[in-house]
Amino acid sequence: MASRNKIPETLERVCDEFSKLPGIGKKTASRLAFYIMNLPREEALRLSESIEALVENVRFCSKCFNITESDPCPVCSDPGRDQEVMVVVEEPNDMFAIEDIGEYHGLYHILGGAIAPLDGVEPEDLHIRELIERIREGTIREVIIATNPNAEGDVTSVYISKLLKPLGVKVTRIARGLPTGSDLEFADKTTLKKALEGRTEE
Amino acid sequence: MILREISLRNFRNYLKLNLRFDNRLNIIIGSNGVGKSNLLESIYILGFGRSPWATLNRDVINFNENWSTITGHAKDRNIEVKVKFLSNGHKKAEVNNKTVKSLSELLGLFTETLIGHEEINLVRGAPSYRRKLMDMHISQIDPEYVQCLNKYNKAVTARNKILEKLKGDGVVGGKVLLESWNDILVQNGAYIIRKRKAFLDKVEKQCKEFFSFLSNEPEKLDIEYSPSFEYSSVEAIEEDYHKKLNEKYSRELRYSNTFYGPHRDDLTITLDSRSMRRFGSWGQSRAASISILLASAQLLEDFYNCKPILLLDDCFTDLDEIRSRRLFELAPQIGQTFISSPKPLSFTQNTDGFTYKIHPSGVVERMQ
Repeated sequence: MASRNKIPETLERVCDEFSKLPGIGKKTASRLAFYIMNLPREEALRLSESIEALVENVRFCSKCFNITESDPCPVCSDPGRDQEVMVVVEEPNDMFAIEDIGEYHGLYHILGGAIAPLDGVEPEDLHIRELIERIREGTIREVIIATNPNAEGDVTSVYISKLLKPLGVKVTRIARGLPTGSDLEFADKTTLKKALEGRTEE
Repeated sequence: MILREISLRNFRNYLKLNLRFDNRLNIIIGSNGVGKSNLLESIYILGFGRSPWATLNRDVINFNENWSTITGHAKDRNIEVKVKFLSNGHKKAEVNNKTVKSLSELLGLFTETLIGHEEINLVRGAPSYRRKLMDMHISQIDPEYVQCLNKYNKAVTARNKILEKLKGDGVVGGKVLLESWNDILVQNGAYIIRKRKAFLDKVEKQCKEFFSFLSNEPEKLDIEYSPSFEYSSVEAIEEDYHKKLNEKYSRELRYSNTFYGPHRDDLTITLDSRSMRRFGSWGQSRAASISILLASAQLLEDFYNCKPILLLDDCFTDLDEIRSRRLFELAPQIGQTFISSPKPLSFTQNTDGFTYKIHPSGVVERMQ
């Protein structure tokens, strides 16, 4: 019997690893693998080195669960930041978005998601217990909840405030309203309605 | 908006069809299976971007082709709406040759109401039909309602899951977690209840008028909103809802189920104080469901400030001569009317408006 030509095992292993990534199927995985195979040696190795560095050096901050290269993270270890206010967000990206404004100088706490029983995310899967411990320490005066305005974000916000209020801390939630820089007439009805409800004195 | 003209390409049994319509009344007759409902379906799609029946997108494309378009021209405003179906199941819509981002942008252009055979379920069917009617109409005029409904439904599912766990081994967060979902349930549920109540208050009066006009008899039709729990006043819904949940906690825990809220709402429809669902005849039930739908169509007119389009798909079945004649008189006064019927309607002679006859070959002929 004639032997059939097969993809080398090493290449197949790379394909398998790629296809485990989100949004990547078998076809794309093999295309990526072939592409890398044809890269100059240094460039291909730079990719594997950067992945190694990511795994070795980047971790979660033990205080706020932000992603960081040093533990505690730069925010948590900066004594110049306001130690009495804390913003609670779902994901590290949300924190970076707020950090980018450059106007907030308090602390953060990253939950690592929102309560979503339909996706199997229960409160114990989030960093809520750690949040309560941080509040118990007593320095925080106000907790600002900045979860997303969907059912999961809403219930997470309610749940957290029910747990935190008995500890004597002020709990607020960020407002919903119009994006600045755009015209009123382009806002969708729901946003406009929420903006009207949450109006402030001029 | 009034639909002046429609052109169909490869739509169901129509390879190529251009029709002009009358402002008031259009009658489409033809034997069973020649494509009367298909024509009404295509008009419906212009209004909603989807078929009224649970069909796959690609099913509307002619068997021998791989794309299909429906184009409609408005009469009173210079607007052209086009919906295109592709064989891969995708569809897109254009308004004046500009692709819209979401099909929901079509809502409010051709504001349509379909009254077909199944709509009798509004009176005779399960409560879910009546909730669906309210949801469909309110969603069209209030986008926040849709969001509240989504959040509410999630809260119901989540609560049931937590109740089940509380009954068993318990759950981290326990009662606090349940109470948090209660807050979401009540907050969104109260919004839904208020909106439904307001909708019914507006529909009821109009509906009664239509019904007594159709039946021509001193029968009294009443529609009453029956929420799943009593509340003392519209302002106190939240408070009373919370109270109910606390009161019935052990019952809900026993069955791991949420028993109170808009997902258990119903409408009570009575004729001379007797339940229509249990005692009404088919004809009376049909007349009542038609009245409800005509009244909600009228409500859309108030909101969008333009006359609705009525699609009456073979809905004269069960109606006697007087009621049929009266419906035929009433509908064109409310909006541009399209009527499909398998046989010529005896009372339609000497009326203005267009009559089209569809032949088994698919040829559509204008009758004089």
